[in-house]
Amino acid sequence: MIGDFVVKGKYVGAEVDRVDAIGKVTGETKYADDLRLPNMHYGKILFSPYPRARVLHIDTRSAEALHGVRKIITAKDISGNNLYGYEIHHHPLLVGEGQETRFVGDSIALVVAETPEAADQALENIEVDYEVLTPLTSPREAKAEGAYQIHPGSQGNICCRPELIHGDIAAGFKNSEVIVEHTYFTSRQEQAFLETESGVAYVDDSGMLHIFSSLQDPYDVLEDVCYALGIPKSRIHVKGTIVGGAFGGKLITTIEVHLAAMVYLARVPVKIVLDREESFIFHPKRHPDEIHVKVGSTRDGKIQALEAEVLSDAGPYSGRTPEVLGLTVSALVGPYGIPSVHLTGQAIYTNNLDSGAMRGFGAPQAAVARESILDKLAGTLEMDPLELRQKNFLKPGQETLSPVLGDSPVSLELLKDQILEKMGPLPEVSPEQNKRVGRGFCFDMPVFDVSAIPVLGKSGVGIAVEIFSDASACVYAGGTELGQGITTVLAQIAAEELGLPINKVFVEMSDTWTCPRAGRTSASRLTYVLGNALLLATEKIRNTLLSRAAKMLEVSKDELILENGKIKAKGSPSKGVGLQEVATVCSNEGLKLREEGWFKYPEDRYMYGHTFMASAADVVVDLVTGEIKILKLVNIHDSGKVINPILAKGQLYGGSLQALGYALTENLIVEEGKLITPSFSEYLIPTAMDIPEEFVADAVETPYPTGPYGAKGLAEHALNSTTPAILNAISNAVDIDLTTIPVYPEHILEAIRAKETDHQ
Amino acid sequence: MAAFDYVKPPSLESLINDYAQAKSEGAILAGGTDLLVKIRSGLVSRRVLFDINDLHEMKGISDEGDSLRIGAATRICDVADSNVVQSTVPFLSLAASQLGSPQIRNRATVGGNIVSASPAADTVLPLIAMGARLRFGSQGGNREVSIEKFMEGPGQTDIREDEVLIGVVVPKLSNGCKSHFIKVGRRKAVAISVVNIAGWIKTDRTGVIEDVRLVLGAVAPTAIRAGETETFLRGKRPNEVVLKEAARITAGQSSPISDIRGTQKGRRLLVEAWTFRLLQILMTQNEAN
Repeated sequence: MIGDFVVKGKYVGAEVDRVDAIGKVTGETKYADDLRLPNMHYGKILFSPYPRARVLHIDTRSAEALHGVRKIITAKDISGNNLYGYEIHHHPLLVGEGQETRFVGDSIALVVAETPEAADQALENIEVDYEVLTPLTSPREAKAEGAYQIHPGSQGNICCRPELIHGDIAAGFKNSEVIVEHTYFTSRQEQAFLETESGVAYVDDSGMLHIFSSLQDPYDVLEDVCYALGIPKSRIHVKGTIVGGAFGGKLITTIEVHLAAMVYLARVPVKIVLDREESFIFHPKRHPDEIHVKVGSTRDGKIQALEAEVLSDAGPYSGRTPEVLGLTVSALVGPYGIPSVHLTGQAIYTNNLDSGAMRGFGAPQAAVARESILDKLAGTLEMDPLELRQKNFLKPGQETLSPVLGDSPVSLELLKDQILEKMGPLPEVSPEQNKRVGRGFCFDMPVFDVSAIPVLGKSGVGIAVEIFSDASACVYAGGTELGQGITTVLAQIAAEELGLPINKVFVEMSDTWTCPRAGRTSASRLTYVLGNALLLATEKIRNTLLSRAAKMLEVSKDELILENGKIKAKGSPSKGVGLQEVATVCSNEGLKLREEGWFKYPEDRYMYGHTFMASAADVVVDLVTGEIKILKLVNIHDSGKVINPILAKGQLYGGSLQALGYALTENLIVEEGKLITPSFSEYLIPTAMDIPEEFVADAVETPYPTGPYGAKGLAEHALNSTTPAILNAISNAVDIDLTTIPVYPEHILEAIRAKETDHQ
Repeated sequence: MAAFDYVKPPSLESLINDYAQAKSEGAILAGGTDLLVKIRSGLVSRRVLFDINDLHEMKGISDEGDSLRIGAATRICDVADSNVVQSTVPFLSLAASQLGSPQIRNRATVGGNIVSASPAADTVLPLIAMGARLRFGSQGGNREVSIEKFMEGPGQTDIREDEVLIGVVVPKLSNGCKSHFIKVGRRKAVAISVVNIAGWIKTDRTGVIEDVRLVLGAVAPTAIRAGETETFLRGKRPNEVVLKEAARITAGQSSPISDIRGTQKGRRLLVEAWTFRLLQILMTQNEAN
């Protein structure tokens, strides 16, 4: 569509340093907590101590009387809807007297005080009478007949119930000579971003509310603040600050509605920074799922039928659950061509922690079930697990449940060859060491959002670019820099297209005042959608500059090229003019040097593009102690053209480590609706010491016809596919079934013993 | 976080006097890696903290012939890195080197690891295995007690209200003994032990076990000696069958609870597995270790 495929430009495809590297390394970068405003006060939230309780009475008098306390806010002070939430507005900003709390992250009161200490003291002095009620903490109980409804009218506490059918499932199983089935349990995963939810806000002299916060979509925040508090959208300005990690945890509005209420009612600038324990209970986690999966195959390993049922814990609010479960269900098919498929899911409201978006967006759970059952099937068929996968790889043009969009070439065979080459031979251990090695594979088809149509309407994704008379340029992009490096990617593209050195290109992001609407920063989408929009915008500017330069040089516009800050005639290198001179002339003549580009996927529906991914792990398992050591971990992706190879590798390493934690260490324990692992000394994410001995990331670059330079999206990928690769490697090393994550050494010992007992 | 006064006593004598005067309202501040976390989370509140970090009587490792004297305010990192500890009580250095993270080891102290009385405290295990003695000071005079007797339960010790832990006396491992420490955590750094085990062994020229100590952590209210295992092993010539039986007996002596780090059943399996592995390592280790 746009640009030449797989160009090796000066910047595009090159290992360009992050444009924000110096600030981040030196600590000069300002995060939300670094911002200070004159007369700034501190906001704190009183959370419900109970997952389910009726608020009988709230007495704020003694808290209000404390020195340094500016304002205490309860539900009755809120004049708007007092509700927010993505799609369904059923998340109360504040639970008021007579109302019930739905989880321990519900807010009861807000405190605004001169110092954080005074705010803490006020929190302790707010007296609340609760009638403590029995919470619903298991999806099975919650969906049972007669269970009370967490949201009145939600029959069986059902949040959503997706169903996907392809082909004739009964015929599929009839054609199968071998059928295996199993149930897998995946855990609740915490995003574990470094920067907790934080922001500052104030109202200016004209009555404009300014919010600066750590977020994933400034426009979603604007919607929520308007709805909950009744403030006109035209009076709200939201600016996303540089984010210290989000991973989906900031994909719904976090503290911004609280912050706006504080600023409006206390009439002072306010800062909120959640502490780690508050952050842990506040934002939605990866859904814990129970996945029953059944697969039928011929003797020679052609899969005929796939049936699965997912039971998912939605937590108290809908949020992103319907989208996440939708993706879990469809991702159960993965990159395989299966003629008959029947997949269903149920997400059930409970009084547990909230569930929502986390990197992978439901696909990692599906990958665990899918790739585990494939290895089990391979075992039953006495077939090599890789051969089984290869036999069922999706073929180009094959009709499946999830057709691959845009004639995206299917590169699974290529990925398979690459990963085998990178893995080399399976390492050996001497048998007397009581250790076994094993290798596990996972193939995946991670999606990226190409459209975001429901959010953005028919206009698509916007971006603005301006070139100034000094030949510097600025890109205004409504996405958010979460650490993924989108600022650098956009600077690379703009510098490439405008023929500017990259240090003359600046990128401003995530600002509802200056940036056209671009939709959420999620679903591995920004390189694709913003990259495309940026090419449309820069094309207009190039056109203006080249047209004007053609007149100046008295040559045809088509003969001109723009590079290194100069416009030159192709044939006669002596004929040229500096970009600065052209830009100055254009500026003086009032020509348009700020342009917008709006990208819209050709089809008017919400849809995903597909990428391909292969992961493999070699592990050694100690039969005596159950200890697991990852010897080698290889991730290879095909996300089309790679704009920045360093950033792409970073995405694979980071996602892969989060997957390693998901597989082996991370365990968020919620008992009776209360979180009992609310800190990083209890919730254990991998450290630098836990990195695999050999850790490889690489790419196969098959150009994508509609992508900028042939690029697709890349972000969530390795989190989907690394977990199953590790699980399969362990399970192959010691010949046991693994059904629950995280896998601890004692689980392995138990399984080995159970197997020994069976054999006796 | 509750407010407190901060006092830095100029001498051990004034510390002992001031601390006695503060009664239960005072606390000793050494590394602060445990105390400050507890104060911040509201688990502990004290009116006054006495900082002992500059009291030279309470710092450092000195060689006293058959034993080492380690001051209560000696940093964990100093124990881990100490040549004399490495050569005379190697498994103490090993335990110290696996506690927490570099940042924690740079602040935390031996005394703190002892008096906070966590059943999972890494350095306590080798100290028990060595029969270390704790030296306390108070206005009434000094007292010495064996570390094994001192530990009463999770966070519970035999310490008296006016007593300050000054140091610990650790007998050196005798010639021909081999020692080892194993920490089982959920990750390779900054992990509280799910199970930890320390042990030493002495065999005669023919390979028969003359004496042995085995201490288990995180599987009982305090770190415990696996006395039955020690008795079982004494006088035996170790082979795989003997070690497996020893491991089985050891698991039986543990009384773990289920908590966020592991289940009772899982911990028993780990005790058995790692006891076997620890004994294997001790049997095959070079004496130099």
